[in-house]
Amino acid sequence: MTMLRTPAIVLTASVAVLIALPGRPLGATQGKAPPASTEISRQLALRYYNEMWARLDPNAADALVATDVVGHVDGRTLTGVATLKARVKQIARMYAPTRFTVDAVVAEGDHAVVRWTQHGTHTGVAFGAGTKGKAITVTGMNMFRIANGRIAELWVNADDLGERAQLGLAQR
Amino acid sequence: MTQATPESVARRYFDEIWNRGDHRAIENLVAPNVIGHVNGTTLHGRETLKERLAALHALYATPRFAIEEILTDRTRVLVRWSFRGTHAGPYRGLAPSGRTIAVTGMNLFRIDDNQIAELWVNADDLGELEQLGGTVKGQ
Repeated sequence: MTMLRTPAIVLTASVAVLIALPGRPLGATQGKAPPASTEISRQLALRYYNEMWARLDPNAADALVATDVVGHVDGRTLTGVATLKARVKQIARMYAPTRFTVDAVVAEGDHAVVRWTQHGTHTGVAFGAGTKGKAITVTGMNMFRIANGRIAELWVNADDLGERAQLGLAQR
Repeated sequence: MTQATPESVARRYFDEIWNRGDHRAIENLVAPNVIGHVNGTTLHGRETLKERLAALHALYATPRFAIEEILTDRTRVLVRWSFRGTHAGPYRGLAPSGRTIAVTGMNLFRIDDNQIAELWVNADDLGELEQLGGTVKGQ
C-alpha cells in the first residue's frame, strides 16, 4: 500500500506523530521485564510530546523509544529509527511555526494514550506553493505500548483529511 | 444485568449502537446533551449520532467494529478499534463498489452517570475516502 503512494502522503502532520527510534544499538529489549506501571506509561507518553514534538527535537527519541519500535499509522505499519527522526525534521520544514498541545492523557498498565492538537502554518513544502501560509489545526490520538521503560509500539490516528481540507487539497 | 462500568458502557456503544444499529441503545448509553469531537468537527446531541448511524448503515453492508484495545482511567475510556464493511451505498457521488473497506480509529469517552457525556473520535477518514474511490490532491 505504501508503495502506491507518492511521498506527500508520508509527510502529513499525522505521520509526524509517529515512530521514534533511538540510535542506540542495544539495550532496551533483552530479557522479559514486568509490565510498565500506569504512571511510567503516562510519563513516557507525555515526554514523547514535551521533549520531542514540542521542541521538534528528533534526538529526544533516543531516550524514549525502543530501537525496534513498530508504528501503526492510519492503517499503515512503519518501523525504523531513521523514519521517525526524519519525520520530526520534515514536519518542522512543512509547518513553521508549529506547536503541539497535549489535550488529554489516558493510561492503564503498560498502555497510554495522548489526545493532541497540532497548530501550524504551512510553508509550502511537500504540498506545493498553493498551501504556503495556510493555517491548520489538526487533532489526533496516539496509543503507546511501553516495554522495558521505552515506547515499544504505537498507534496513530489523526485528522489527515481535515488537514488536507484546510490546505485546500480536499473537501471534507 | 451486572453493574454498568465505564468500560461496559464503551463496549455496548460499539456492540449495540454501531454493530447492531440499535437506535434505542443510544437512549440508554448516550447522554441527551452529548458533545462529540469527531475528526476536528463538533457535534451536539443524540440526534446527530442517530444521523451518523443511519448514514453508516446506508453506506456499508454488515458494518463491523472490533475493539482492539481498551483502557480505563477513572471515568474515561479509550477504545482503539478497527472497522470493516462492504461498500454498498453511494458516497459523495461515488457508486457502490462492493469492496471491503478497512478503517482504524480511536474513541475517547467521558462517562458520567453510566452514560457517554462527551466523546472524541479520530479515524482514518482519508484512507476510507481513498478506498471508496475518492481522490485527494497532494498525494
